[in-house]
This record gives sequence, C-alpha cells and structure tokens, in this order.
Amino acid sequence: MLFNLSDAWGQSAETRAAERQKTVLLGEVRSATDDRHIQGVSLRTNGVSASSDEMGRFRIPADKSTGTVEVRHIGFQPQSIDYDERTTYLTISLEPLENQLEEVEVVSTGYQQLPKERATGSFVQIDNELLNRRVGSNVLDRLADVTPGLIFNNGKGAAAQMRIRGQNTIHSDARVLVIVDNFPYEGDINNINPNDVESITVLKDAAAASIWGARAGNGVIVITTKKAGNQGGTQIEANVNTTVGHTPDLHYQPLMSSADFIEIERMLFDRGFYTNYENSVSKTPLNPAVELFIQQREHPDRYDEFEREIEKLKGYDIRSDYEKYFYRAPLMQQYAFRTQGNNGGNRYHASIGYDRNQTEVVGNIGNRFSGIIGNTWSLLDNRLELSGQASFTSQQNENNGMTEITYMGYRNIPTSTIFPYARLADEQGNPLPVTKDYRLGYLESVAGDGLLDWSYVPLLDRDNNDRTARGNDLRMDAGIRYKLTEGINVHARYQYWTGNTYNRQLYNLDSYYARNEINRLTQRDESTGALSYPIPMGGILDMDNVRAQAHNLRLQADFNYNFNALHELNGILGYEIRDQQGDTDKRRSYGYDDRVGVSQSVNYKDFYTSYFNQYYAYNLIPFMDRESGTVDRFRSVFSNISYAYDRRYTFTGSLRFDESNLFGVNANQKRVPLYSLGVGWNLANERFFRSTAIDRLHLRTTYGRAGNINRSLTAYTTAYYNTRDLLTQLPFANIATPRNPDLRWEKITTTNFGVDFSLWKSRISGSVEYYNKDGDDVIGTIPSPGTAGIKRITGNFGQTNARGFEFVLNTVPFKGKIKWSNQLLVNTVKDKIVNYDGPPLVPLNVMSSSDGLTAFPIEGRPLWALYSLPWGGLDAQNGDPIGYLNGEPSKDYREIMNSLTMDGLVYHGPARPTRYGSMRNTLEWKQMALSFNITYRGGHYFKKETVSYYDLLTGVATHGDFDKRWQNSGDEHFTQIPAFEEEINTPREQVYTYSSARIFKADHMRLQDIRLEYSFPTENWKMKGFRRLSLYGYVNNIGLLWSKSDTGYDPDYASADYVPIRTFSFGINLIL
Amino acid sequence: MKLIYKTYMLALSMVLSLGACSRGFLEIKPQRTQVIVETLQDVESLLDNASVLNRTDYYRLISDGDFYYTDSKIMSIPEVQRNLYLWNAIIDPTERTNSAWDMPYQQIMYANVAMETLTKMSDHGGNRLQWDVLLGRALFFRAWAHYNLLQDFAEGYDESTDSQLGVPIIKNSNYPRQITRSFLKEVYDFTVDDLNRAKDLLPLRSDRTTRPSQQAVHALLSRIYLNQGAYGLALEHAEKALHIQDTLLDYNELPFTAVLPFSVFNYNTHPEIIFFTSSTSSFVAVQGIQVNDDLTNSYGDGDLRKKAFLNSDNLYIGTYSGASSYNFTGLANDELYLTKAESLVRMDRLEEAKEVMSTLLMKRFINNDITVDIPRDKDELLRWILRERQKELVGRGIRWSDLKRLNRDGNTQSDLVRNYQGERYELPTNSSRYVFALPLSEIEISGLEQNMRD
Repeated sequence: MLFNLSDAWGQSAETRAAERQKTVLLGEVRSATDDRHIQGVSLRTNGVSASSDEMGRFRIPADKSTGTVEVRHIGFQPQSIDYDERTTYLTISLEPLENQLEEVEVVSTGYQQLPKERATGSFVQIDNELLNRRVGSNVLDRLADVTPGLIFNNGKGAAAQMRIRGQNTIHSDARVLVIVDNFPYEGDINNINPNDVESITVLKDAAAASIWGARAGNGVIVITTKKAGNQGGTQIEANVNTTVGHTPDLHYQPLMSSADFIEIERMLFDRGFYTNYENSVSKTPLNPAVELFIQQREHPDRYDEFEREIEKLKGYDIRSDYEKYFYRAPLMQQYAFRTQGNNGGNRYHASIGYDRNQTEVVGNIGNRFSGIIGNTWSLLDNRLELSGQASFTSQQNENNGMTEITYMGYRNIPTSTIFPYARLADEQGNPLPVTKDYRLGYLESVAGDGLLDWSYVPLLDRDNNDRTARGNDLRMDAGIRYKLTEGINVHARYQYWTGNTYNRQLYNLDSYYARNEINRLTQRDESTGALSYPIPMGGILDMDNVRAQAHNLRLQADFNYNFNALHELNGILGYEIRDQQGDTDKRRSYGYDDRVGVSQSVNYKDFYTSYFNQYYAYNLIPFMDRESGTVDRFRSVFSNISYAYDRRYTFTGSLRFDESNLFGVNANQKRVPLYSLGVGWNLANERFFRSTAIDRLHLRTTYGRAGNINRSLTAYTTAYYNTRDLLTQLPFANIATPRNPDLRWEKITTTNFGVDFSLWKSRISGSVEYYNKDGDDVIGTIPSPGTAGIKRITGNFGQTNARGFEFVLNTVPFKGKIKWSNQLLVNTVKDKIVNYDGPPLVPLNVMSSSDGLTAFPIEGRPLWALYSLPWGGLDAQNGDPIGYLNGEPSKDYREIMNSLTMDGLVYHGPARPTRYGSMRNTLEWKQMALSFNITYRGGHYFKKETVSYYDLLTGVATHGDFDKRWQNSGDEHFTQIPAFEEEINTPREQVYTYSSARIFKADHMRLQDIRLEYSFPTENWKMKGFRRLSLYGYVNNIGLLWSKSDTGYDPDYASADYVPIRTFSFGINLIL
Repeated sequence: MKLIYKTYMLALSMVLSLGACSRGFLEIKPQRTQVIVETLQDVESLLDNASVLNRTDYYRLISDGDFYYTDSKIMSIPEVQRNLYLWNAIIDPTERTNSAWDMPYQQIMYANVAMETLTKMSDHGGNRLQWDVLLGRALFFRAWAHYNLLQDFAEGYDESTDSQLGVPIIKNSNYPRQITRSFLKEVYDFTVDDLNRAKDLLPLRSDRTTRPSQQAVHALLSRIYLNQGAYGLALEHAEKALHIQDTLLDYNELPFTAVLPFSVFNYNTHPEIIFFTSSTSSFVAVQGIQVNDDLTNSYGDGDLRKKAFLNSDNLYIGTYSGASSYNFTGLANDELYLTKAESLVRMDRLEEAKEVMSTLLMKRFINNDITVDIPRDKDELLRWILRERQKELVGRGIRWSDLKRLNRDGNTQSDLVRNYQGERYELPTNSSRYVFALPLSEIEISGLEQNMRD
C-alpha cells in the first residue's frame, strides 16, 4: 500500500506532524454480531469526543497517552476501553442490546444513509426478516399490514389504492414514488424480485421525503437491493417455495335464480317486450328462453315440449360453469438463488430467480426470470470506490384466461353480462355454443351462404386466442465515490433503465373474433351471389409495444464534521438530472398466417355494408395503428444538512429546487423550492434525565413542503389528432384541455411530531407520531355546466388536509424458554377536502359514484365517501319504498328526486378506513417460530350491491336480493328490498337504490396470515458451512374474525366477484 | 465553522448555476400526441371534427309528430325517448341526458377556440385566404349552434314582444364566467350577426358539405327569417342561396330496388345538400319507427316520395345522407324552394309561388308529371304549400320549428295527438311542452332560469 493509514485520512503533512506530538487514537468500531462497520458511534476521552465515520473508523486527538475511551452507541451496550502508549489501533467490537435491531437501523433516503437517531423525520424501515415473512412475487405487497402509516385500501375503483398517510391530491398522480437503488423506478413493480431486496424504507413526512422534491407529496418508498456485506468469504443462499390455493367461490355475489329470471322473461314476452327485437334489423340476439317462448307461440301444439326445455334452462347457473371451466386452484412457485462475497478490495453479489404464477384463472400463467450481478471495488486504500450493478428481469405472461362471457344484449352493448342460465358445456363436458352478437335463427338462416362458421363456443375460443405479454427490464447502475478529504466524499451515480413490454394478441382464423370480423363485412354480389372478403381470410394480429428508458445522473458531495465531539455537522449537496422517455405503438395485421408470419393488405378507405344489416352501409375496416410518446425531464439541485449538539439536540434542514418540462407553464412556476426543517431532542442523553428504566426517549418535530405533479395538464388549449372522420375521411382534432394560464404544481406541507421510546432494555419500545398534511393548489376536475362546452374542467381548484396518529408498540411479554414478542400498530387517518372552488355538484351523480368511480370533492368531506337518501323503510301495505320529502316520510318519488339537493343527502362517512392497524404476535420456542397477524380496519363504510328492477324489466338478470324482496305484509320487518313492480318506475327505484338502506359500516377484523418456521440447529451440526437451514409454512387470507355489519359480505370486497383466495405456502431457505 | 459555511454557500451557488444552463432541456413537450392549438392546420382540423360539429339533436325528431312508433317499440326504447315521444312533462327523471343542450354548446366552444386561435395568429398564419375561410366557418358553426338551441329551448318567435326567453349567448371560451339567458330576439340577432360576418369570408360552395359556405349562410338566414315571420328577408336569402346553386334531384332516377334509395349518393354527392349535419340518434330504417298514417296517406299516386322515404315495411328510409347511421338534418335546396314558395304566397305573389312549387314537385312525381291540382286561393295555397313542406321534409328536424311558428297563427295551428297502450297523449297548440327543460346541472351550476313544462 502506498499510503500509510494517516495518509489515507487525507491530512496534510504539516498537521500530521503537529499532531504526532500528541497522542492520536485511531481505530474502528464494528458490530460484534455481524462484523458490520458502525457509523456515528460516540467516543469520548478526557473531554474530547469523536464519532465514527461510515467505515466505522474514528480518530481522537487525546491529550494524554493513557486513559479510557467511553464508547456509546444507541442500541449497543456501552463500553469503556483503556488505552496506553502502546495502543496503536483500537478495534472495538460492540455488543448490540437485545431486541434493539430496529433501533440501530440506518434508514436510506435514496440519497444518503442516515442513522435513525440523527433523523428528525418520519421513517419506517422494514427489515429483511419482516419483508420475508410474507411469501409472494410482489415486493410492495410485503409492506401490507406491517408498515405504520401505509395502507392497501380495498373497495371500489380508484378508492382501492395503496396510500401513505391519506390522500392529499384529487386528480393528479396519487401514487407513491418508488425508489429502487437510489433512483425513481417507473417500470412494473413486478420486475423487482422480493428475494433481491434487502430492506425497504418508507418516507412519510417532509423531512424524510422532501429531498425527493416535486414528486414526494404522496410519500416515498425506498427499496434497497441486497449488496455484499463486509463479511469475508463467499456466501450462498437459496429460497424455494410453493403456494397453492383453492378454486374461488363465484357464488359470493348473489344472483337471482335462473328460474325467477325466466319467469320474468316470460312476463316481458307476454306483454310484447321482445316483439320489436324479433324483427330487429341488426339481428339483436334473444335469450334462449325467449326463443322458446316464440316457439311456443308459433307451435301451440308443441307447447309442453318447449315448456320442458324451458324447465331445463331453469336449472342452470353460469357461475357453476365458470367455477368448473374458467377457474382452478392457483399454483405459484418461486425459486431464488444468490451468492455474495468479499475478498477485501472487491465485493460482489449475483442472484437469479424464477417465479411461475399459475393464477386461479385457467389460461393465465406468469413467468418471471430475474438476475442481478454487481461488484464494488475499493481502491487507493478505500479512498476510491467504484461500483457497478446490472439487474435484468424478463417476464412472459400468458393472458388467455376468461373470467366471464359477454354478449350483445338488448341494449345493444356488446359487453353485456350474459344471461344467468348460459352453459359452457353439456353434462359430458362437451363445449357448447353460447348466444353472442346475433340471433340464433339468423345465423341458421345464413349457414348456407358460404360464410365462416358464425357460432361462439367460449371453451373452444380460449384456445384460438393467443395473448402474450413479454416484458424486459434492465437497470444498470454505475457509481464512483472518492474521499476528497476527511469528512468530505464526492460521488457520482448514474443509472440507465429501460423497460419494454410487447403485447401480442393473435386471434387465429378459428377464433370467434376473427370469424365475426370477416363475416360481418363479407360482401355479397346480389346478381351472382359470389362472396368477397374485405377482411382477408386469416388471423388478426394485434401488437402493442411499449418502450421506455430513463437516464439518471447525480453528482453529490457528502460532508460530515465533528468538533470536539460536541458538534456534529452532516450534509449532502447535489445536482441531478433525469430524462425519461416512452414510446408506444400499436399495430394490427389482417389475414395473418402465424405459420409463415405473413399478413395481407386491406382497404381501409372504402365503406362496406354489414352482412347482417343491409341498412348499415358505413362500415370501415378497423384501423388500429397509432403511436404516442412521452418525455419527462427533471433537473434538480438539492441539499440536506443536519447539525447535532452533544448528541442531545439535532437540527435538520433540506432544500430542493425542481424544474421540469411541465408543458407551457411560465418558467417561474416551473421552478419550485421545496424544503423542510426539523428539530430533535434526545432526552435520554440529558444528564437530568438519566434513568435506568429508559433506554431511549427522542422527541422530534419537522415541518416542510413537497410537491406533486400532473403531467397531463398544460396552460394552453391542446388538442389531439385523429386519423380520419368516419364520414368525411378527413383528419380531425378534438379539444383535449381548454387553456389554463394559471396552472401550478400542487404543494403539500407536512408537520410531524414524533416520540421514540424504549424502556427496560427494550422490553417495551415504540413510537408515537402525529402528522398534519395540507395540500394547496390541488389540481381538481370539476364538472362544468353544458354551456362551458366541455363537461369537465381541470385546474388548481382545491385545498386538502390529512392528519392522523401512528402508534407503534413493541413488547416482549415473555422472555425465556418461550419468547413471546408482539408488535401493535394503531393508525388513524382523516383526509378531507378543505376548500374547493368548483361549481355545485349534482346530488344524484355524487350518490351513485362517490365511493370509488368518480371523485367528487366536497368541502369538509373525504374524497371518497358514501352519501345516500334518507330511508324510511318499506310501506307495510304494498312494500313500496319510503323516502323523505322536506323531512317528512313520502312516496312522492318524482318530487323527492326532483327536489334533491346536496344538503338533503345523508353523509355516512369515508369509503377508506380512518382507523387501521395490526397486532402481530411472534412465539419462539427452541428452533420453532410462529407468528400471526391480526388486522383491523374501521371507520369506513361500504355500499352493498342490490337488485335493479329497471334491469329486470329490460330483460337483464339482477342481484340475488330479488329473493329477499318484500312480498307479503310483514316482510317489511325483515327486508329493505322494495316489492317488485311490473312497470318501470325510475324514481321509485332510485329512492331505494340511492338510500341509506344499502350502506353499512365496514369495520372488521381479520386473521390475515400465519407463518410457522423451523430452523435446524446448524450451529450444533458437525457439518461446517451450514449457516442456516429453515423450513417454513405460510397461510395467507385466512379470513374475517369479526365484522360490524352482518351483510354476508366481506366489507373490503363487497363489490368483488370473489374474495381473495386463501393460499398455503411451503418453503425452504438455505444459507451456506 | 465560518469556513464550512463559506464553502457550502460557494458549492451551493455553483450547483444552482449548473441548473441554469441547457435551457432547451426542459423545452420539450411531455406528450407527443398532445398538440397546442396554434396553427391554421390545427384550426381546420378542429372545425373538421364532424362528429362534434356536424351533428344535431334528435329530440325534435321524436317530438314533432311525423314519426310514429309501434307500441312494442315504445316499450323498448330508453325512457327519455319514450317521454319525448309521448310529450310527457318530465323528459329525463335521472337528469343525466343533456345532449340537446350540451352538444350545441360544445360546438360553440370549438368555434370560439378556433376564432380565438385565429385572432392570436400573427400574419394570419401565413395564409390570409385560408385564415378568412376558417374564421367564416367558425362564425357559421357558432351561429348554427345558437340557432339549434333556440329551436329546442325557446318558444316560437313572437315579433310583438321582446321578452321571450332565449338561451345564453357564448362569445368566448373563458371559463368560469357569469351567464344569463338572453332574450330570444337577442340570440337571433347575434346569430344573424355572425352569419353576416361569415358570409363575406366563405366561398360560394364548399368542397365538402360538412364545411360551411356562403350558400349555407343564406340558407340558414332564410330559415331564421322564416321563423321570425320576416318573409321578405326569408325570400331574399332563399333566392340568394338558390342563385348560387339550385339543383334538384329528379326522384325518377333513384334506384328504388336498393335498401336505401338515396344510397347512390353520400353526404357530399347528394345534389341538394348545402350543409350536412345528422341527428345524434338515427331513425332511419329502425324497426318499429314509421311515418304517421295521416302523412303516409297524404302522398298521392305518382308521388315518388312515398317510395323514396318509406320502404315496404313502412319504415322511414328517406335520409339524404344515403346511410342509415346518418339521419340527415342539415340544409338542402328542396327546403329553400319550399321557403321561397311560402314567402311568395305570404307576400301575395301567388303565381310565382306556384311556379316554384311546380319546379320542385316535377322532380318528385313519376315522369315529372304532377298529378295533383295546385290550389288557387291564397289561404288554400298556403296550407297546401305547408302540407307539401311537411311531406317533403319529413325526418329532417324542421317540422318542430315549423309547428312552433305556425302555431302562432290561428289559421295554421294544430294539436298533436298520439295513442299508446290505449291511452291518448296530446300536445296542444302553443303548449309549454314545446320548449324542453334545461339540464338540472346547468340550472344548479349556472343559476339559469328553467323552462316550465306542464
């Protein structure tokens, strides 16, 4: 080595000479358990203090040549080490305090590693052990129910999203920013193999997140992948598991019986509802029962024969066929192997993984291959560090599954839900044709015309479609770090990311889709009867490619200074630049022959008359080709500083300027300063507060501002072009956004108070936090009146607020042969719209879709909430619904609906939980560990699905509540479902459909999962090399323990087709 | 400490200045397909959006009494259409269907954006000629939309009063804004104003009938003046429009074996079409929609219109667009002949009127042989012309406006009657149900005065 140790510390010769006269204590601090370097350890001798750097090294200029060094570090047992003249290099090995693993954690912000004791902000770190508690292929799922302040909301539509500390945005991107290895990751999160992840840090408040600037407003999740540690030698690890489940229960959502439905169809038939469709020019299909009624009418002599057919139909239930033919028991397999090592100057790691997910839907199979290889070289006696990593993921997913079948239906909507007595196969399992787009009689009448077979057989069709999605994802990281001088490091990091997805959808010539497209445009020469095919014979191939790539470059300086162990100054300062571009293109080929890979040209310009409807002359061959692209550019400067005095007081601050290519906004609005300030007080380090019972007591508070963006908006009137108008064949444009010169970024200001505590050597520890998040200039879409010319207008219309408590309590009630530890998480979150300058809302729309379909910002209320009409129960005489008019019970339905106002609505509460938490217990006995997690969610409401008589009277089957409807006097005591009225009466139906009778409290508790693990006592084994060998079992989605409302539904999945499948996993984990 | 501070500030300012370079880096638009509306091409493409601009609403078509639905059809159509057909006071109990109101205002917004973009251009976008034409088109579309709103949401024009309620006039694309309903006369005046400005900017005829022309301006002005009872002006503009082009299609040349006899023409090749629009809901050849018996029976022997407009199942097939999906509701020459004839009669120029009518009807009868007698008496002649107008323009959306204006005169007014499931439904002369209700959301948000229907 060229340099001696003190050279490596970057001092000039002069100071070195001066200091030689005194004693300089040099050394390093490591953890006794894993040999890790420990940063930030406090060392003190004779009134002089120092702390260790990120390599665990320290130097103390001591006055005397003999003495004692007091070594203290949170989470470790304090030590006193004597030294004398002969001491040249101290190697201090610190013993961790038991159960203190979480306390010593170093949190990663993606910009720096921060010892948690010096952090004033709100960080949650999910360590490797907790991450691996769950089994599965998605990494973010593993945060569920173990992360304070983070919830995976269930429910409907847009309300069902993962959120950190509520939602402060309305229509902009409300997604959490995900960071993978220091840079934002915008690919498919499924490309990250959880087996490669070391830890996840969740950044929740301004001090934690505002360093991420304009995109940090929704919280940040920082994923750090595994790297080689400091341990010497080579380590090999394997993790293999298999997950199985049962076939889903499709009868979870009640559906009216086929028998009831057929009788309704008979009633409609008798009153002539179908007469018009019988002669429909577009050959609207009729349900099989209706066809039989027609037969009965046409052939009265064979009435009974057809009646027997009808009786047969009454026995069928399509959901049973779905369970039998469309669904199956899922099977998931995961294999992960990894190696890492350290031979001094070179640390390396490599991993490969394979996941195969055979989902519960027949035909849907996912394959994922992933691999990482990385290396870190330390040069110039650790002053220079070079690192490089490549991560590659390849996914291949077959998506040929069918979950339901649809048909044209009477409303001429091609995706109408099929009638409940449809059948997929006969008793022997032979696939059966199902009514699709045309009346059966019509198809029979043209069977001899020379067209392609026009029948739809769902079970055969599945094999004739080939939908495959292939994705490749590559991340390449390079970094260089140079220690400029003592306490100052400069580094540069670069990441290149590219993610491509290729979706290929081939409908071969035997598929219904291709046959129907060809048939419907087939042209017949009236004189010769010859057929011609504008869409050529062959398959139809759709290709849909998405390519994205990003370049990230960051230049950063880290500095840290200690002044006589009282003052500690740390900070970073940097500049970064990001360019992410995406391209999408779609292509369609007709007449495609997969065997030879050739398609045929078509005439997109000419109009063709539909074969089945001679009046419909303006058909074109669908032209699907299009392209789009996006460019996201950011340029930022940032700085983060913390100053600590005597390990008691910490002050932190951060500042960041972001600029982006946000389209068309004035330059001064592009550049947004985002900042944070924080204070921390380590009470346990105060002399007056010395107590043996208290290991730790840390008060902290922060204030700051982060941002949020909406890339779809601009200040100008914008339009998008379309290839051609169907009628004129001219290219034309649509107005996309009207102009809005005042467009600004959203700003989210967070205040956070926190207390961390640890008592009796961590028998009890935890934290309490309170936060308040104010959203300003929140972008919202407001419904505008018809005269505005556009139905929705978007701008900086709102102010929002979210606040809540987070309480974490870790206890160890027993500690002996059996160790019982427990983590209790209690969270509250209240988010609401504070101010919204939009025009008034339409009450009916609010009631119908405010629980997840459409965001209706209402002042003082959460974004997603439930509203209803006051409900007066059912009329005892005839089962009519009773509503309220001017505060009085009323059956004047028309007037009730006409006089609706927003003030007249009942507000129930939010659609998302306002209280949630979990209780995770772990029992350890010898080599066995058992843990189970009980979760609670409450304070929210859900809307139960119900019957629609309008649907029924227009020939569409409806919900199973039909059976529970009011039928006889007295039923009103047991049911809220109005009596069936045989005429369409929309206001009457609305008074019930929008009533409070359908809304229930959603509070519930469930046993989410259980994990049982057995670790072989490898340390007792003769065989060397086995570091760990364990077997584990894991059961997920076990079920509800308690639910406040007795509705038969799981409140979290009230509108789902079936509840999440309970799965069983078995696995083995081996480390050599 | 001071040194650190100094160094830090120096570094900070260095880093900040780094951010100032490379301006171009951020001057790139985030989405390729999102286009700022600024060029002549953009304006033209907006105004060529035929599915927005060349559409009219169907409310009038269902309500004007010419179409007849079988009972089973009435049962199966959406509730809104059933209420419109039966002239019920409440049309849309759910208040969700607002197309008759929203669509014209969407057209007005497009027109206003086009005009604002044109006004902002420097040097007329480099092509003064095209700039003028585009401004003319935008003005016409704005006038056309305001005109259509009045037909649905205002009473028939009464020259004796200034206080009839019209609709809000929208002159720019700013939002939010304060709006009120202008008076009927004000809206007509505004519309006429736009049309007069458009006239000098537009070519005599357009290469596509979806694009406005001078002829379309005159045809629409003629319609407006007819509605206002200003027969002299109605005549003047009908003549000006016909002077530009007065072709009539000889129905003897139609292929009556075809499913749709007019399918030999399309929107652009039909010789009579001046300006093309179609109804948002098509009633062409829809099972269960017929023309009422009285009207069907009024086509005399040798009148080819019966065969051209109705097929053997009595379904309406008479759309000039030649396609069942485009139910023609625009401006055409035949209407101008009828307007001209009516105006002439009203101005006591009976002989000229008869001549105009013969010119038109010649092309409608077998072998151009008019087999009906043209009345001589003024009142009879007027009634006959009005009847011919109804027969000629069935399914074109003009009847509703005609009913409103004709109901103002005791001699020409009529009560409409329908039967459904044994019940009788009526729309008496000058009923308040001749104006449709404004969408509830508009009333709530903009605070406009609602139309009363009872």
